[in-house]
Amino acid sequence: MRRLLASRLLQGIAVVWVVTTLTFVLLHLAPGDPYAFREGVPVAPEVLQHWRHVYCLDRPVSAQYVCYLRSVASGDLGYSLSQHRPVRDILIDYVPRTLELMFFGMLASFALGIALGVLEARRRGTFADWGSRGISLFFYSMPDFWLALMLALLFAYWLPIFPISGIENVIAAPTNSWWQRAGDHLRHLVLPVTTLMLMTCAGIARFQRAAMLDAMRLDFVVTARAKGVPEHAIAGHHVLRNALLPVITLAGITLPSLLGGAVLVELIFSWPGMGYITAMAVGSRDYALVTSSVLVTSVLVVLGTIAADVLYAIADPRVRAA
Amino acid sequence: MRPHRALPAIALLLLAACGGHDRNAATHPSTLVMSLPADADNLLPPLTTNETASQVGALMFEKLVEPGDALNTVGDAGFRPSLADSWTWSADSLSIAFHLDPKAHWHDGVPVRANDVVYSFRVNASKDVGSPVGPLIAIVDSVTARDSLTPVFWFHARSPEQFYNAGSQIRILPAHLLQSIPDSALKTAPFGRQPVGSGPYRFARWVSGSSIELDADTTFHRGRPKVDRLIWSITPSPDAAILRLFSGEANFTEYLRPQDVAQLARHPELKAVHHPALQVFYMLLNERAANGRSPHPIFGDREVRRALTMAVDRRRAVNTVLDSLTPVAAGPFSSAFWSYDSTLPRLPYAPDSARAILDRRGWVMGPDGVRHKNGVALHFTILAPSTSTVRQQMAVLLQDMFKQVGAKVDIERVDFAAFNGRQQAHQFEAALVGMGLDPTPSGIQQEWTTQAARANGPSNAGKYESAQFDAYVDSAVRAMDPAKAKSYYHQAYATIIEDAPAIWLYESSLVSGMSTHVQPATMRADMWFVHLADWTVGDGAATSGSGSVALAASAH
Repeated sequence: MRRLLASRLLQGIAVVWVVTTLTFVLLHLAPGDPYAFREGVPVAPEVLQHWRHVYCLDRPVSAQYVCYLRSVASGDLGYSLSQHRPVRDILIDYVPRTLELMFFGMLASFALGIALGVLEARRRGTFADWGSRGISLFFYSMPDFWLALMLALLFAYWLPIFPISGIENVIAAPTNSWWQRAGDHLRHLVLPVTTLMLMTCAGIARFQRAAMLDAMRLDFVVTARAKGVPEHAIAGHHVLRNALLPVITLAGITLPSLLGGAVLVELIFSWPGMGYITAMAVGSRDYALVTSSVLVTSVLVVLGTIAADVLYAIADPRVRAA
Repeated sequence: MRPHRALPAIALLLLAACGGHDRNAATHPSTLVMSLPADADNLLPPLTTNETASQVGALMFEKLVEPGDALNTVGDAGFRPSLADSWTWSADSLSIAFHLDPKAHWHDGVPVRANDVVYSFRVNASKDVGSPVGPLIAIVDSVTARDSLTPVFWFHARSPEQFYNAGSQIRILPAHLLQSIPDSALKTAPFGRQPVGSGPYRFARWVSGSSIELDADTTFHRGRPKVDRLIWSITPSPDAAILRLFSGEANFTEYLRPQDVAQLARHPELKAVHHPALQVFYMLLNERAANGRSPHPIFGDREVRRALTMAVDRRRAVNTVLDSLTPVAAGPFSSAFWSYDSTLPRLPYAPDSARAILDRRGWVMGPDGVRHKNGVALHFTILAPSTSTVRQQMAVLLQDMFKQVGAKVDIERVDFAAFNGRQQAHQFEAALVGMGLDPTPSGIQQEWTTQAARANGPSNAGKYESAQFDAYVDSAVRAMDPAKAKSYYHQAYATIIEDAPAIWLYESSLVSGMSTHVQPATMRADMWFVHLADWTVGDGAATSGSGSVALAASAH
């Protein structure tokens, strides 16, 4: 187990380094820099020159990379030129909001995906099976921004049940009690989480359905059925428990796609998280912020994958032994 | 807690949230909720570079004087008192003494004094701070405090805009809170996130990426603001922003797209307000070839540039992409400038004349409908930012109009940062540019003269050079007599229009959407928000069924 963990950690460190370096280089090769003149903001060339020098932007890319590595090694993630704040402070504000969205998004996706997978497997070949697969595939095929806008239009504008965007009611928040604020915040979570859930649950459901069907053919299920165990008990206690194992792996794979989808979801629902701030930072060529956001995101993905591997090893003794 | 036990708790929270806002609604004062696309960067004015932070800063920090709505920048005519209630020129005009309003105070209660002005000048001039204002106040030699209420600005030399530069460029900062911080450390100082100003609104809270809130300072020295709360609610998606306005989550949005204006008509509780903005859009023509030295085979010829300008029906293009209220630009200046002259000659829409000029210049029409000269096709690429739907639509229209006179045009769409970077590196043939203008017409010197072209910086990216234009601009900028200055500007403008270094398309006329309960004051061309303290938000009923916004003032 320790060897597995150590090996995964080493791989993870290498992946994070490669991803961050590639991001750094590609971003610097793209035209423009944080001080490429901005429309509507007349800034004197001597001021731009001064700031370029302060932030090493007047040096070759390799020298800038050395600058960056040195500052990261000393625990300083740099200074965001678009936000005018240390990158560390920005991440402290924005990362928890993305983690919150991811947590609820994954929870909802897996809850619905597993439930649909079980339903489809138990009702295999029926209208419920076809209908459920068709509907979840429909949402899976939808472009994420379109799905998000349609949900906002339907549940926030035509049927004004949830707020359109943001993380709180900006008018009432200062005077609300903590529990009103918590409730308000939960209401603001509903539409972005629903979007993420609908985007990803189809894949989980299909995976779960296949795993259930495989498990249903195993000998111990036949034995249980022969012993007269009721179908719902077989499905819940025998089949589902075994069919959940492969889904653990899926958790590690789903995290990157959820994080990717979160960029547009955060932008459309004005959810100020990592996706939102990274998209803004890319647009303004804020090198330090983009690179650090990618660094944090890749660390999250690597940790998610390692956690999935470890959980799988804990759940399945065969993997531990191997 | 087992899941089934947690569910009622979550449901209670949701119910509480729905009910909570309705109960709070009655107690809320008048509030203006503004949807804006980006969060502020830093609220310390010398470090502010984005629009949202500029708006917040303008309501929290005062200048000594404010230009009048006519935007005169020569001498002191039309300027309004702000922190300074009066001023005195020295006999030789080499110094101006401002007298501060003794009632002015910082939001922490400390009075505003002359040493705050001295400090503010020093910080804005500091290279370690790198304020965008720095070069604009270079004409000021020093600022001293004659007494606690009288800062004195000393100038290197007389200039027509010395009063404007001294009194209206710097926002005054609280020295007692900032002077102990080294200039180089200001950018990370907590003050930038929790500022203390002296303006009509005081800082209330800032939730990163979500909202910024200011409350009215009821003891403001020039009178209590009429709206109690201002909230900038950050909404990056324009689709979400318009939905927020329609649903009542916001009661003001700064910019409506043409398609939004059409939809607004279906909402009687909302209105669209047109107001001028100091921004000019044009198709910039790069007069240098890709090597940066030799003339561009097409745009290096003044007559061809004029012909291409005459091939464009600008009024029709603007009406098609925007609306009939948007003015066609005459040149790289605003019709809101005091130097503007509506009698300026313009190159007409005359496609037949354009064809004749191209024929005369040796561009012969080929069988493929494209003109050629010495083996070179009349073929070029328009660079457009992919983030601007308006400019992309404009590019397509222009492409069609150029085709009518035998020019083949490709359109290249790039993201905004790349668009700016390509211009700065002069890697373009033609580009659809939106240029923000200073409130002063003298900004044309920095942007369009030969000196700007040869500086190889971001200005004059098309490399337009004209000794005649330079001479007129120099004379205009130095003229102490406004009438003479206007005459020189007229000649400079006429010269650049005739030389056609760009095809001037339109002046930005912003269309803001707002609730009918919002009564805006004058929306000044350079800063629409500068008089926000004089806006009113009337009584309006309305509660959103969702309970998301349920207060008289903010919902429509």
